[in-house]
Amino acid sequence: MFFLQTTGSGGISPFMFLGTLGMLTLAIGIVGFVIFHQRKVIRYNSELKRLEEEKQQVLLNASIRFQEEERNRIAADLHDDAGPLLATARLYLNENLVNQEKAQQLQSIYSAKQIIDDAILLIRNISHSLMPPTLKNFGLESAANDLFQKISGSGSLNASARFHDYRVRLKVDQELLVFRVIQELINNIIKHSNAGFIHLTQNNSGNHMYFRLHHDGTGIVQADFEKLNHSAMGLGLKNIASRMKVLKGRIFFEIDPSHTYYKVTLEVPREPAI
Amino acid sequence: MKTKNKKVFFLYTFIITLLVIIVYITRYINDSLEQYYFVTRIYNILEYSLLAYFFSLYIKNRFVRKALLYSFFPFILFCVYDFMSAKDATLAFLPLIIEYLVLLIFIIYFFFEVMQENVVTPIYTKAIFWISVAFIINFSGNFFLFIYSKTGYNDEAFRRQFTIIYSSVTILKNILLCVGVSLKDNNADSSLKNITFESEFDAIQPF
Repeated sequence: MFFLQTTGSGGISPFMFLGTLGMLTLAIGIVGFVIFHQRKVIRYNSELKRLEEEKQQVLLNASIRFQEEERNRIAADLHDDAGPLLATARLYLNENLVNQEKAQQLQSIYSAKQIIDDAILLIRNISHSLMPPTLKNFGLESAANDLFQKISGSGSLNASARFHDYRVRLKVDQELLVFRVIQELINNIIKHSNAGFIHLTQNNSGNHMYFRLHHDGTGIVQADFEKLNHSAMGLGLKNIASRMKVLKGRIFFEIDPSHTYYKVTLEVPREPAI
Repeated sequence: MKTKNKKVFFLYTFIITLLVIIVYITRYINDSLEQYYFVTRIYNILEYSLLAYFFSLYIKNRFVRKALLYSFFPFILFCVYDFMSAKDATLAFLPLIIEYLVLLIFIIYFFFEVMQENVVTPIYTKAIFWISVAFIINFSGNFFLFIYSKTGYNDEAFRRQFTIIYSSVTILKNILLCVGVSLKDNNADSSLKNITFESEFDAIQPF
């Protein structure tokens, strides 16, 4: 019952011939399909790898450009502000000071002292912008509160921050990265959004810590962020993306359903400081 | 190919060569058809068990792998049953058909698993691909031939056609096996792993 019969006339059965041919065609077809499919997968993977490399290159270029800009800014601050101040102080304290009258000497010394104080304040400000001492000494919560108070104190913007559960601090490196991202976001909001208020909230959920910025100005949504991230523009956003990548976190740009304010949420894995 | 897989394949080659020699001796030197049929039945069992073990080394799904590996026991039982129930000494066509069908299914399943893998190097650079192609062609080419053989094997004209088809497919299989064995597997996949990018971001200040 398992077997088929030959024609009996001594010739090869056409069914057997066609069956064998059919089986061989099927086998070769399967093998061909596997090769074709694999080639497609390999091409797709190569394309994906190329795009990933391109993205890495864009991020690298952005970070290098950012470093250069920052160096230029520090150099300009030191050259244009600190340099003239110290030069002026030097003028007050020149060699003729000893030949001057006592009252004039005191006046010159006092002026030089004031200028040196200004120079100290200027250098301290530059130093604080590089590494906020509050962040280093008291953590992210204090640094963020301090930053928002300063912004609010300027009078142009209503800024506030509220940390709901920050009993366990993040690692120092993580805190610095989160702080820089918040700084960059605030910088963008102030520069581009024309917002009336900024509010920062913090909370925990599972193994993640969340930071959310609300503002009522003009903002961007996730699609805009992705688009700007892949274009030559949006250096600051690329920098944010790079930092989030280092943090192994995620960032979401959203608009409230009522369209009254924008939300930016940072999701950071919790790695408590030891 | 991994060393273990290589060993299994060369064991298969060695045993099959040995059996072919024994088959030749019984058929043409001893001129004993009964011995010849008996040895081909043993050949059948050993070929199935070694190939089942060899392909089970490449199948990733645990359940399928075990199914292929343990299919050896029912296959032996079936071969014994076929041998006992045979009215007169003849070639074991039914166990051959079963063997070819089962191995064909598992080789096709192996290709299905290969298709699901995310690969960097194409499969045709690997020995297992050529070995699988060799057997898939051998099994599919001879499958219908064996289905018709039970009734037509005693016919001289059929036997002539049988020899032509069987020999052609066997030669093709052996050529493909040689290609497979002569290939050296490269490890491009592993060398491309762990390419990461890191940057010193702490030096960057936003304002």
